[in-house]
Amino acid sequence: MTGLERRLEAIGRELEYPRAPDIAGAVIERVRVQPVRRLPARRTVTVAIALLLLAAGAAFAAAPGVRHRVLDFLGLRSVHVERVEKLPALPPGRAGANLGLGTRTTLAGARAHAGFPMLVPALRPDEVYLAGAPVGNRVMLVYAPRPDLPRAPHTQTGMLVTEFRGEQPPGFLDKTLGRGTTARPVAVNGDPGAWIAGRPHEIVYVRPDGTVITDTLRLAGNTLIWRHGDVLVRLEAEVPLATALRIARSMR
Amino acid sequence: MVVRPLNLDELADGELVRRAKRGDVGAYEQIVERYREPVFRAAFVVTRSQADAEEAAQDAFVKAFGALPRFRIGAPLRPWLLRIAVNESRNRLRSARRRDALALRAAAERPPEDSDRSPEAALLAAEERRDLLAAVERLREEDRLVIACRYFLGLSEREAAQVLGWRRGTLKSRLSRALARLRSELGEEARA
Repeated sequence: MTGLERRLEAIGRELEYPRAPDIAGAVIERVRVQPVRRLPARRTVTVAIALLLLAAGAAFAAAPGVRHRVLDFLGLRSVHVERVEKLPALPPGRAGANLGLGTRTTLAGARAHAGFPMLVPALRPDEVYLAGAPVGNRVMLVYAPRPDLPRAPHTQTGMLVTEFRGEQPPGFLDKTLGRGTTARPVAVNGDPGAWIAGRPHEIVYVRPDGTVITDTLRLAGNTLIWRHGDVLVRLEAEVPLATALRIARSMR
Repeated sequence: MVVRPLNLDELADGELVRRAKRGDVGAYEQIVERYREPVFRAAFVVTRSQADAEEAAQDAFVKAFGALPRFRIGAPLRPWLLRIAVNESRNRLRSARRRDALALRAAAERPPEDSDRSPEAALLAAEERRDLLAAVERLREEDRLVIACRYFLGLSEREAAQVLGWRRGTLKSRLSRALARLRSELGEEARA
């Protein structure tokens, strides 16, 4: 290295830069509404729909970038649909330990530590998990496949029930739906909900501070999602709506 | 019961990329946090405008997210991100909306108070640096860019070649020519 090169390197080490701006929030807000992959050359227009189940209005204000894209679609007070050009790349489904469900516990353990009144179907779960992240305490009930609950291709389970308190600390739950997926409003024991069916979709949480977290490692198939008091319940199973509703209505 | 939340900041680049490729924006946010400083610095070295550099850095990260499906897990992330940032910044250099550029400044232009050097020596060193930076500024864009990547951003030859999208041999010859023109700007014909 010549003297000139050494002098240039020395200057490089001492260059004054403005402070690097905190751009992560803005970047994440933009990637949330931008396509990951280019549209195919045939220009098939893919209209994706994201269902935003708002847990708190204030939380929604934390993501102003998507606000204008949200349509009041289902007519549920707390449910909105976002249309995006293209879904983010979908994760390959994984089974069992890779589901990232949290720490294995028992129904009694989950009830004691969940911090909210959890609901349990008449049909008892095979496994119970409790996780502290990403949306605060979250309980997951796992059912092994059985004749009336066929093995879901993405989770390799018969049914997954997820519950967490909707008001705090999570902001809203956002389900990004692609072409071939439908969402329709339903009621579960008088509680407002939605049935999302068809092709798999991913699940995204947005925390009140605006941090967006994709529920990693898996895709959801047919999903019944509803709010009971301040608890959001998500029931995922490859079953018809009538079966999902029957199970949901049995939850106490 | 111990519930241990996943700490994304403990994950290696490869694992974050793997998650981000599947659409995990939380993992991608961690990548942005990890690399926003070098990406912004690269953008600033090219644009020499704080506002342009901020926009270029932001655009670069958004584009990189869209390009993740083409990124090979295990490949070094930093030069890949810097390459996108440098391209974004160069586009801005050509843009009509370009803002006024600042001159690059070295901190050593202000002699440190606890310097062992005499005030005269410090002043002389500061003057030399200022002249050198000014000479770099007068070079044409490609020369300035290759010098900035290699020396100001502290990239290895291999990384600099990757960031600029050149083969390593091309980088070496262009760097050598840029240094020769810099010497001539400085009035240094012989090798220093």
